[in-house]
Amino acid sequence: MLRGLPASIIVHAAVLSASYLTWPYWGRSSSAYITNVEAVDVNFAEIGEITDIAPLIRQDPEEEEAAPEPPEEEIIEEEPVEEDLPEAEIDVTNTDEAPAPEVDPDELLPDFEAEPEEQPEKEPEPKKDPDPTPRPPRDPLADFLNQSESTFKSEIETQRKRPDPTPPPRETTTALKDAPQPAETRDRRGAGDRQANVARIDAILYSRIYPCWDGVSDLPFPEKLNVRMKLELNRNGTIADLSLIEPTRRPIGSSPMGTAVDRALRAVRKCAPFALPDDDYEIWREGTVNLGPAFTPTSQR
Amino acid sequence: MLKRLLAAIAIGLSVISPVAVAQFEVNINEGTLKPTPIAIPNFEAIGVDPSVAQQISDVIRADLESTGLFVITPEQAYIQKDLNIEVAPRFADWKIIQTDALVVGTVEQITRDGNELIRGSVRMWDVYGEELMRFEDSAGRQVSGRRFTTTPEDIRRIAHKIADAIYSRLTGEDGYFDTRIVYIAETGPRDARVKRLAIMDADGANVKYLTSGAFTVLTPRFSPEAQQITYMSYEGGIPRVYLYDLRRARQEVLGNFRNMTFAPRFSRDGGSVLLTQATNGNSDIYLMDLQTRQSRRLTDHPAIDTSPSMSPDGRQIVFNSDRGGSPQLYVMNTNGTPRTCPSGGRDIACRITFGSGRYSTPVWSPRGDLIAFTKQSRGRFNIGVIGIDGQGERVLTESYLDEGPDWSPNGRVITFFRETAPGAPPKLWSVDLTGRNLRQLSTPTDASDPAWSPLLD
Repeated sequence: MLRGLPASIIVHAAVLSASYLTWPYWGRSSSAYITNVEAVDVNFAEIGEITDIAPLIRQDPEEEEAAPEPPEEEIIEEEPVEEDLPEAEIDVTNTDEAPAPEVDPDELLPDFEAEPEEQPEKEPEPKKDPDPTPRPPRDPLADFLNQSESTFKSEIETQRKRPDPTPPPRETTTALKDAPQPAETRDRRGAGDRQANVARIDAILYSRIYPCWDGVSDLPFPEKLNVRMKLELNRNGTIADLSLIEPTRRPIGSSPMGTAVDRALRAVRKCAPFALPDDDYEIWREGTVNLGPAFTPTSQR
Repeated sequence: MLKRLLAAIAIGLSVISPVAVAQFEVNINEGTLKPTPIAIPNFEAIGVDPSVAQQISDVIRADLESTGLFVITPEQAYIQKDLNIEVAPRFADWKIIQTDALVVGTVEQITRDGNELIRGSVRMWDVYGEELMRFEDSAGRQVSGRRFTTTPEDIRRIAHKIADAIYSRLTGEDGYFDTRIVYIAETGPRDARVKRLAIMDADGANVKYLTSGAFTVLTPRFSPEAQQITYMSYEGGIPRVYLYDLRRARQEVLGNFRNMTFAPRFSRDGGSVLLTQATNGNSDIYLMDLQTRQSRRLTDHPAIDTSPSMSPDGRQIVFNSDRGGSPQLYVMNTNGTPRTCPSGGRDIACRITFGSGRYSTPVWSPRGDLIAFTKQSRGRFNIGVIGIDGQGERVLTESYLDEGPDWSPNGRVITFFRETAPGAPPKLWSVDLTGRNLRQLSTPTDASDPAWSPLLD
């Protein structure tokens, strides 16, 4: 009995150790695991774009449309001058007694739309199932997997079909010459160098946008006037899309934040197109531009 | 199944993986503040003499340029000349000449009730955004353009109102062009100076004199309703505070004070007037209700308390007192209750200036966050601003004599009068809140004690 105890302990320990070491691979073939590794190395950025295909927050056209837009007409008329009180000529406010406009202002100063405003996309109507027969309960996990797989496949298809726009000749050399350059500007392709290339793009864009940004120091409470935008660029450096992230839309009417938003959008539009190194298009095709006192300059990070 | 699960996890990870987000991020916190380029071609004349449209266009351009915030694109640079208020411009033509905003307008003659009227209409385009810039009308509605109508004699007001609309749209603040400035017009030798109450448009046009000059008048102040002016006059031999009704062109002594009254200023709601009464060499501040004509004493101190100005919410006043040994600025609650002072402790009135020099003529900003003042130090005078808690004092001007600041109704500009040297004639000046855009205002005579009206309706 006692002789068998050490042997039993050794055998059990061996079994447990073997189980511990091999457990992660139970139920998996080696090929499945390798496939997983390759999947992790998929072009995440491309998938990210697909998953982010919905338009970012834009100015809500509905509210703009809902706001009354009758052309405004105001009357400023002088009060009749009293002959014995010539000083009364200086009376400057008599709008209370001003008659209402007689002419329909819509005919004279109709609302003007330079461009058709964006209409919110309608939700697709659910298709009616022609088969009234109740279906068996669906497996949520299986649905999710199917959806993910189809997303992945559609992305590959999209990548295949997407024409590669031919970039027009650009002044890349000049741009880089003018832009603040990091100490090392040679092409970087390693994983660690990618970070440096991003920093280089940040610096180039900083130098391009800075001259066009008027700032908000002249506005009331400037410390609160920070504008965050999403900028998408075409290969030729022109703006593909520019949208607000924070605030989510321009405040209606005249306000310091409205002015800050106007200035921020204008700063980016005014300085476009941007001459950037073509090889790094994947870095600069999309990013964020933050303008306002709260944002630390790239050069000081 | 497991393979697909792993693939799904990989796809999910791609969304949050920091490696995947190789995007740029540009952060710029300070800008290069410079005037905004704006093009204001001459408005199209429809049924009126082109000189009328030209005049309105000129006034709009001058208003905006005077702020120092805009630079007008010269007409010689225009590429597109066939502008139409109903048609979008060719934005590329305006981008080339680096214009941020384009103003297009018309001036036309209309007839109403047999009266000929002039109507000005305006629209503005964001050149780089390639879209119409919507205005906000007086009712707060979003409109695609604005239109103003008046009599032919008063077309400058159309221009001022359009300039205000443009200014407001581009700066986010109310304008201040359709306003007036009341001041003391000075003529004659220094030992026999004639001082008359005068009023003009904010750009110096349409000067009119409200008093004959038989009696010296000083320190005029506008009512928030723009229909009344309060000032001090020596008429009757003793200095007293008067009230001038612009609509009726009548003046009256304010209150039944037995002694000298001076340094008046309206409350923000226009319903009462702050003033100082001097009794046996001691000056204290009173608040008079214009409806009941009852007055209430706000300060009761053996020192000289004067030059009161009320905060926009009416709850506080700032005034000048030498109770600390030299003229300094103090803040107190209008109802006279004790308050916690920024420098510590509780008191009825809290001192907020501690810099070297003598502080006087405080004026609370319409925005509510700053107080403008005159400062005398080392033989020079300054106009400056300070936070209501005594923090952040900034000197904006310096001269042999700079005195009597008053705010534009939007709190953006300060007007004051200046004598550049001993014996030099006093003139009106203005300076931006930031200390930039120092300008002399044009007046036909020497001038002092300017006071800005609110925006006219």
